[in-house]
Amino acid sequence: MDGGIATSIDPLAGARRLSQVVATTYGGVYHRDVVLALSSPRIDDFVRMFDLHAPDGFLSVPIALAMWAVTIIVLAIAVVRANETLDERAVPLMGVTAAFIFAAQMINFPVAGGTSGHLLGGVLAAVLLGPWVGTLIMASVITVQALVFQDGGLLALGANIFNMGVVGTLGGYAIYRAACLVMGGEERARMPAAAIAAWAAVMLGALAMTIELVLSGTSPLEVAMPAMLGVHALIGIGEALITMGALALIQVVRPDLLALRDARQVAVPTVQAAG
Amino acid sequence: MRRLWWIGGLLVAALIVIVLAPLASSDPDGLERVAEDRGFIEQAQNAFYGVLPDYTVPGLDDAALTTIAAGLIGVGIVFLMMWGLGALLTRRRGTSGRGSS
Repeated sequence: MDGGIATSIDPLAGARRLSQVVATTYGGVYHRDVVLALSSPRIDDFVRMFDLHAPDGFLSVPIALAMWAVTIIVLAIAVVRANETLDERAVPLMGVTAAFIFAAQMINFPVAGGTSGHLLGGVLAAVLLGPWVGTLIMASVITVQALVFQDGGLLALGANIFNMGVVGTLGGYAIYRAACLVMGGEERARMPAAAIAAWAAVMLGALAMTIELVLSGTSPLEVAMPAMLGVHALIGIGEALITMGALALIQVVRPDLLALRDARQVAVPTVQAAG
Repeated sequence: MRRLWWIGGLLVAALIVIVLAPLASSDPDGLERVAEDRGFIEQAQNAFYGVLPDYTVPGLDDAALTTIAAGLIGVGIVFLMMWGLGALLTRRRGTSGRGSS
């Protein structure tokens, strides 16, 4: 059963149904973020329970399959582009970045009103290793979370990779490069540009998730959009702070690692528009 | 030693799991409690399979230890996976005649 409340005409019925669906499916997988987020039962379930790891039963099957198709195409492009641009010296940084992002995604930080969120990390990975390698790192983290830790559904995995690992990584990197350009070059603008891009990447991911939910008929646009974007505007601040902190640490300890992204200038990745 | 920097990076990731993950999991009963309050606990569907569900290692019962162990396993998996993929991506190119810069 999925809550059986879809027949209500209550204006908040969409949100309730969604929160019920979330609760049901998250309950099934004992989602860690929910365990943490629910410790302070003050604001609406819908907002509190939400992060971007969609469980199965959340997106309609056609939407989930469509997102799988889009994700597979993007990952195939990412492999080809990474094959062209990845420098041998950057390989250890790939492993370390994936390890850091996996670890950081386990840590929920509190945002206002009993909500919690965690790092996504796409902009961090893209700033360090470029958008295509960054996308591959995000895909690996999200896939391991789903396959090994039952965090996020299998049918929803394509959408989860797209929302958390593709749209924010490619789109976030485009915003990063644009911000660097506007602010006088990457050397000078690295931190503020990364902060802006990190925040925007979270919003892009939330927007993608919202559109998929609306298209799936899980929640009406006017309910899902403000709730999703509102809470993720706050989570994005945490994303920006952690992204800057990690980059600052690298800049202090091993600034040479920041040059690995462009160490091999075979084909400079062109700035990509968000998918 | 400068080439072994990645050990330091891996230690940072491990420290995040060891130090912060148990703190983040200080209220493990939250979901069950609210699920009971809201009357949806009986709706919970078990995942049809489980390897290390909810970032725990089956058989390790201590709340902090089990989360740390699961987290370290995950850190290790993605680290090896990406290093392996990176090695594959750079090697394949090396043998395809384009050479390395």
